[in-house]
Amino acid sequence: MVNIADILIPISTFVTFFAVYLLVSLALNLQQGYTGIPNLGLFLSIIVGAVVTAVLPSRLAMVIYSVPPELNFIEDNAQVVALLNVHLASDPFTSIGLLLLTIVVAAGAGMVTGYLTSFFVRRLDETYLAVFLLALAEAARTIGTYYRPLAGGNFGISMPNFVGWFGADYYYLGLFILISSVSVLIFFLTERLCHSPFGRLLRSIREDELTAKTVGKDTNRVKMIVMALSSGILAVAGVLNTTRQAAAVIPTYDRIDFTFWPWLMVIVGGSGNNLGTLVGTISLISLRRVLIYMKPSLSFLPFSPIWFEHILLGIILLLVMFRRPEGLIPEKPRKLQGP
Amino acid sequence: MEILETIDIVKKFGEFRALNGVTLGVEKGKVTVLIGPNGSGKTTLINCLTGVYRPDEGTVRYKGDDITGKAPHKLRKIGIARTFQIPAPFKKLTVFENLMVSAGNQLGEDILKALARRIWLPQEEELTEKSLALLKSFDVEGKRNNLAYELSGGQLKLLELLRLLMEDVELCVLDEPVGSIHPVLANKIFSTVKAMSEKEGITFLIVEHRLDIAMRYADNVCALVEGKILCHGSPKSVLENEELQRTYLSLKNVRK
Repeated sequence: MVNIADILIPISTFVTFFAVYLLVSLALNLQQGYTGIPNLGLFLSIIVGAVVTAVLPSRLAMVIYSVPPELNFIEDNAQVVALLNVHLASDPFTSIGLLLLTIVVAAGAGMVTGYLTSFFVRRLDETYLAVFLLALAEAARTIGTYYRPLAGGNFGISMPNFVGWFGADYYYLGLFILISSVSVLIFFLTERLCHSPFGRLLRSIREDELTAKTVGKDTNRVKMIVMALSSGILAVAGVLNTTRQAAAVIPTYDRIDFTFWPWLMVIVGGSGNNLGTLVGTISLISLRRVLIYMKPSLSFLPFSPIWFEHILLGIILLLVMFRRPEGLIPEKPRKLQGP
Repeated sequence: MEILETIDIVKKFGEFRALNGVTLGVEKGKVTVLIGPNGSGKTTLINCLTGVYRPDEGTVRYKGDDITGKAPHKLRKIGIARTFQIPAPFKKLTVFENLMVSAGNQLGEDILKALARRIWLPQEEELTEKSLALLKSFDVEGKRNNLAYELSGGQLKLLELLRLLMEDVELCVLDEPVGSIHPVLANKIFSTVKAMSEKEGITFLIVEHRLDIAMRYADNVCALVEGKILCHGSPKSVLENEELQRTYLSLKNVRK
């Protein structure tokens, strides 16, 4: 007889991975695709979300379930996680409550991060801004990697299982439902926003900021809102990824996986429209998954197959730029129907 | 009565003084044309008036209030609008969207209200009617779904002007509004400007080199040479200024 977990694991792994990346790509599309803010440091806010997840729910759970105070979540990580998992597995309300609280707090922390970085968005030109945001994110990653009390430093920490109450067989179904429903909700809200006069305003700023100012738009304020909103989404992606992996390992939030790949997803799909972002994300996530399964058969390559993914990133970028710079689903003009 | 005044405006780019103490008054409800040779500081002056540049010295007053260095979007909200010498449309937006986005106080531009369609839809419908009526009045309704970058130079100039009219305006600063526009449309634009100043009391400050057209509609003319006001007054008096004849008009072959 087929074990239900054997079916759910690959589906859930793929969908949750896709759902996390969809949020990252959506946030980038809001910044770069709609508003013209080039952000090479997307992983800054993702790290903020991951750190909130590492710090907040476990400590709260330790208080709620009266874990002995001599146990330290970082230093006695395995022991604390094992204790908490026993309680959480039989307490769905607390588990859901802690997760929702984490998502809300992380989104808030991400929005504050976005708000603070927006001061530089106002003052720096495109190239300087992109590099500055990259440097800022790298600094956050370095701190997260070497400062153990935050999220266990270089080796990271295991996280308690907040969907364990689904039972061992349906654990992956729980992850699937939680992560994909948050992503779907954010996708539809973003799509609604982008098809409103607010979306039109963003596109006008992208096209010519000075003109937008002269027709009365406070572009600095709008950019601040966009940075706060998209950074909030990125932080939620950080929460979901940490939950998905049941671990917070800050060094894994690097520029290639959590900035360059999402950029490629937006470029391949077509920037300035969320449907393109969706298509670009699912195409490249599928490709990366296929590559992961193919790696053992790539041993004939003159280099380690691990690097093949990175080389592929460059090749795809070049191909898209030369062959289809507007992406698979180009931004369409919003035409007014009627006579 | 003067709606706009500049007092001793100085604007420097490095050591170069593009504006060297410009004092100017723009009469309310009139069409004032700013003329002068290329590089005389006309565009720099209107950039200082509309908040694109902050003057290094001097004061700009609008209805008596000091607006020196105020941001362009704040000036637009108090009724000062402008166009650009080189048209600056929202290129990948349609002509219709270019007009729509130029309207002020839009409910749907508020991020929270944007999510609730029923809040902003009635206003959106009103603005749609207004923008279509504007396009129709200049016989360019058929271009409404064209992306702005698909328009010709002249059509872009017209789009710039129409964009201003999407929101209430008291002072329009136009930078060469009929440059590269054919004479029939150029006259139509200037006659619209004149009618708006006479009927609605809107003030126009217009930089223009096509004096053969502009002088027919101007109430006042101001000549700017080497960053200073050379002369200011009625079209006839300014065009008869000898120094202006020598530095600018002798090359223009103007029919007075």
